[in-house]
Amino acid sequence: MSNIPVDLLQGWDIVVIDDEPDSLEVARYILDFYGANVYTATNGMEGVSLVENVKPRFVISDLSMPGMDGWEFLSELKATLSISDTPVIALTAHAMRGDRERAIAAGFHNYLTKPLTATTFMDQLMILLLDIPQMSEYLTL
Amino acid sequence: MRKINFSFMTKVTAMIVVLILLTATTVGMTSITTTRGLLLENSLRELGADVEITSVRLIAGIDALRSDTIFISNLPEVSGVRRAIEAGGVDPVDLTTDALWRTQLIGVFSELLVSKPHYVSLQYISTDEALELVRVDNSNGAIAVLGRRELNIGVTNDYFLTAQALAPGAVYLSNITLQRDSSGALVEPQTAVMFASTPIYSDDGSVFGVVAIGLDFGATFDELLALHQDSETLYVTNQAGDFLLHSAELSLTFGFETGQQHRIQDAFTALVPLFEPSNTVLELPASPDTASNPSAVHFRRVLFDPLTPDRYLGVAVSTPYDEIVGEVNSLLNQGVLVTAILVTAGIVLAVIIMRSLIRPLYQITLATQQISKGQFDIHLPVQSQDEFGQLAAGFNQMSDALQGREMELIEANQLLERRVAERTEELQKSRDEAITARRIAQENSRLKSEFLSTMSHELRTPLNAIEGFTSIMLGGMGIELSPKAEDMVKRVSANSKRLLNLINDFLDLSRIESGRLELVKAPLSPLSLAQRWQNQVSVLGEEKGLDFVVNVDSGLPTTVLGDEDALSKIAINLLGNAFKFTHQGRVALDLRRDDGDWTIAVSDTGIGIPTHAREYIFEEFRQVDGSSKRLYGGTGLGLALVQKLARAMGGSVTLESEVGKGSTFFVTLPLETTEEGVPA
Repeated sequence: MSNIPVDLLQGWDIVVIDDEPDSLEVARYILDFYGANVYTATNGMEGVSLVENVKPRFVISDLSMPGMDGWEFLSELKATLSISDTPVIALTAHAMRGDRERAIAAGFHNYLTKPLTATTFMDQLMILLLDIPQMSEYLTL
Repeated sequence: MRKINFSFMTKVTAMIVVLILLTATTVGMTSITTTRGLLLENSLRELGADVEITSVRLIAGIDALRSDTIFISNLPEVSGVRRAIEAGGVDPVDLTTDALWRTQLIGVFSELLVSKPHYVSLQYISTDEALELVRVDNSNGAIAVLGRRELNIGVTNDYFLTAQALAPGAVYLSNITLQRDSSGALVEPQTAVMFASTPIYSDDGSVFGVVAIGLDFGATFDELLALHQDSETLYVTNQAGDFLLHSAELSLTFGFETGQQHRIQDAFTALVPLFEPSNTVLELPASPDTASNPSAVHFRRVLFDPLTPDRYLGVAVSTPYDEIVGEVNSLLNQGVLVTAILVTAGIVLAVIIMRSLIRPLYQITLATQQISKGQFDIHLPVQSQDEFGQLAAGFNQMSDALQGREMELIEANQLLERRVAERTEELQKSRDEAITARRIAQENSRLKSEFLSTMSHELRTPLNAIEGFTSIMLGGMGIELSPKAEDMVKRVSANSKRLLNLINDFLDLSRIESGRLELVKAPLSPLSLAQRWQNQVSVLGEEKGLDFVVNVDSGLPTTVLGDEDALSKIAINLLGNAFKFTHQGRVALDLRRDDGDWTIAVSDTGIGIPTHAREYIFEEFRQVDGSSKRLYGGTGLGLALVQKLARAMGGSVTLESEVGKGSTFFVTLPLETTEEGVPA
């Protein structure tokens, strides 16, 4: 992690959606540390309007949430023309086997595995972002 | 075309009727022809019989006449008269006078005429001057003795003349003619007569005279007429064919006496040849040829005088063929009627008998049909001991047997149905129970699964938070910690990791045991897997100063199908254990191909596993011993999870170990490969 520049995400608007405040806080802290402007929502409904307002570079969304969950959020986002191209990365719990494959199939750009820690989160995130063409051009490694 | 099906009975009936009719017709036709012939023959023979009777009667009369003539010629008075006349008036024998003899003879003649009223005259005629010596007439029942002056002289009658030439004892019989008086006139009423005469010889052998009897044939004819049948006509003719007797037309008789000619051969052309001079046929029966002749006639010559065979009486009986045929036909008609009645009766009887024969068969047929419809309680009456009776009895046996069989079948069926019903009920019950049990099990499983899911989430969420925050505190992200605090945070982090691992292992095991483990088959790169696992655990070796050797067999395909989570869990667990129980030396990870399988081998140079422990180290919560737990930590769930995951993937785990030298775990899995590339 030492080789990840602290300004990697400088100026990026990122939306994180999770019903767990602590989980949100960890994500916000880490992303913020790397320079991103982090916007958070605790369910899919909030997330859709937030994404519409912020127009973030990408979205990280938990799958299992009360109210509108991650799956419904994704289909809602895809159905909303102005934000339908926004990459969404799923946040999957370790226990939900099969969720990852289903997530890719459903249209999530990729997935991250909980728990989110300072080291693993950024390592994984960087790999995923490099895989997204419109993201990679922003990344300067 | 419609085919009509007659019953057997109808056919047999028709056959019998046809047979009877055919037979009756054939026999009838034959017998009608035969009978017609026989009847005709019989009728014709009857004509012959009547001719015979008539002939016999005539002959009898003539014979009596002949013998009476002989009788009177031998009368002593006749001889006496001769002797007296020859002696000139007095009989030299007894001196009786001529006159006395004549008187005595008259007496005898008179008596004879009284006793034989059909004699019209008795005469004694002398050849001398053809003088009548004695004559007695019977004129209509009155005996007339001719006196001396009434006696004829110069008699020229044929019976007088012919008899003179006869031998002694011979009798001449005259033709039958009408009686005439001495003047030659016909006697009224006309009387058919025949004269019989015989010569009277003198002692010197010369003919002295003739005695003659005149026979009135009228009586004989009347007798014959009385005898003959009304349907027939009776004829008597002379040798010329002139009618002497004609039962149908008396006026035609004796035509020759009055200058007329009524002859039988003129009436019946069939008889013409008989009257040719050379013809000697005595009897001509009637021709059976009914077609060419209007009447049948039977003719016979009755030769009454052997001395003159050219003279005879013709006796004939005729009857019109129509009458014969009519009689025959009427007889035949009666016969046909009787035959028809008999045939009808025969047919009726045959049909009745046949019906009584066929009826049992018909009943059996009906019964067979009923049986074929499943009605087995049929019993036929066994009415006779014949084949039908036996058939009926046999049929009854069969019907009984069938009924018995049917009953057995029904019982067996009912039993079977009962058993099936019972078994079905049992099965239904156990199925219901099984369904209930399964539903309960499913419900339990679902609840358990939900519980696991919830627990997984609820347990992990706080730990994830702890992990996240401690990682930030320790991650050089601008959080300043005192050395003491940093140490404590590290411990918090380590403990939370252990707890998380424990929870993960526990949940995985539970999931496997509840059958909720869902394995996926995704394309994986063995090389990438090995690198990932190396990255995850190499830090453990670095901490203890152990070598970590990773080798991936070049024979392995670049892509295998598998479940990354399960494989990673296996590898990380085994590698974790290897590092944990190894204090010096090395830990090695080998991925290699073994034919159709591939193997993940993890070896170490650690403390090794005693033989006795190898049986249970794969059980949950077991380590080699209690002390090692404290020494090495860990939950004791790892190897159990490794083995269960390996088995769930169709593989197995084996172990080679030597205490003090090290252990090697081999996880062998079926190799499934794919053309598909591994997603990046």
